[in-house]
Amino acid sequence: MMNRTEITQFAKKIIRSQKGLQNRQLMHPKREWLIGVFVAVSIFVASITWSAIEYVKGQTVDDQTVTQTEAPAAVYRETLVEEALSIYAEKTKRLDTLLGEDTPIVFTETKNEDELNTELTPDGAEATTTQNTASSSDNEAVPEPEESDPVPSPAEDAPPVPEESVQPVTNI
Amino acid sequence: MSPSTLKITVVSIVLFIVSTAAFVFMLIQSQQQGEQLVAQLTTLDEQRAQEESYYRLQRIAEESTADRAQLSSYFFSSESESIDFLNMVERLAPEAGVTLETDTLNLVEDAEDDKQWVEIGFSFEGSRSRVQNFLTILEELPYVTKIIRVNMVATSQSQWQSQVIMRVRVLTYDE
Repeated sequence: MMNRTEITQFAKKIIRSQKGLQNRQLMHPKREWLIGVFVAVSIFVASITWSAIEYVKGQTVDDQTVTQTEAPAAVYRETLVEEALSIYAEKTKRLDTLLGEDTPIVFTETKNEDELNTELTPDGAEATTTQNTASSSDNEAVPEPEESDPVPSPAEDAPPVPEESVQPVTNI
Repeated sequence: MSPSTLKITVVSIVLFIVSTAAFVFMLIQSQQQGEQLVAQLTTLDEQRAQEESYYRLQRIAEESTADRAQLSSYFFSSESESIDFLNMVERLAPEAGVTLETDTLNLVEDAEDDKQWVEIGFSFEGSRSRVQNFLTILEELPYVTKIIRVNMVATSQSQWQSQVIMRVRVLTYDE
């Protein structure tokens, strides 16, 4: 036997079914078609956009992504080489000057120390050469004293040449 | 649902799955190709840098050939070159008016810089000025030299004798 609640629900169902389907439950072909086209176009546009971004990224990867590798610098110290060559050229010039003289150069102790102290400096090289040239020109008119004149004994008159006057020189 | 609706539904689902799979595959492929492109460009860039460095070194080597040859002439390339050096010094001695003798000739290794030197000892005598002159000549020889010791004594009123120990640098490269 049906009770009152069941009867009421049964009656409501019948009444609702008699009203028919709601508007939103009905099929609207135009509406459904537009929704489908909209979704398809959205997917299509999104994929085109992504493809374009990837293409541009791949086209400009050389400028942006890859860091320019610098060539390892070749180390050749040209200034050092030229400085060394000029120093040795000056040495060769001084040697030629020494060998080209007929009379030997007479050194004093002071001159020896000055020459040896300034020998290694490029700035002093010219001064050394000038001194050699000047002394050689001075000696041309001066006869060689050792062979004709009696030379005083080193112990008495001529100051002995201390070993420190001729300093060991390190040529680099 | 009617059978035709069901059929269309199934076909749609299958097509959707296939297209999604194709899209994901293409996405992965494009990413992999992009990474490969970056790696290849990096390799190309490094190769270009190496080539640049090589050409630069080659140019430097060609331009500096004369300078380097000149510099290497100031060294002994081997111990045997000391013979030519001795011949030169022995030729210079009579020009400078001194009588020369070679006392020692050794190959030594410097404790300070671990470099090889040829150590040569000379004895020469003559007048004081000529001996001093020849000392200066030895200092001014166009070689990388080090004067280690100089002794100068008067053997008579007009004759002086000097003993010099000097080192000349030997420059060798590992081959």
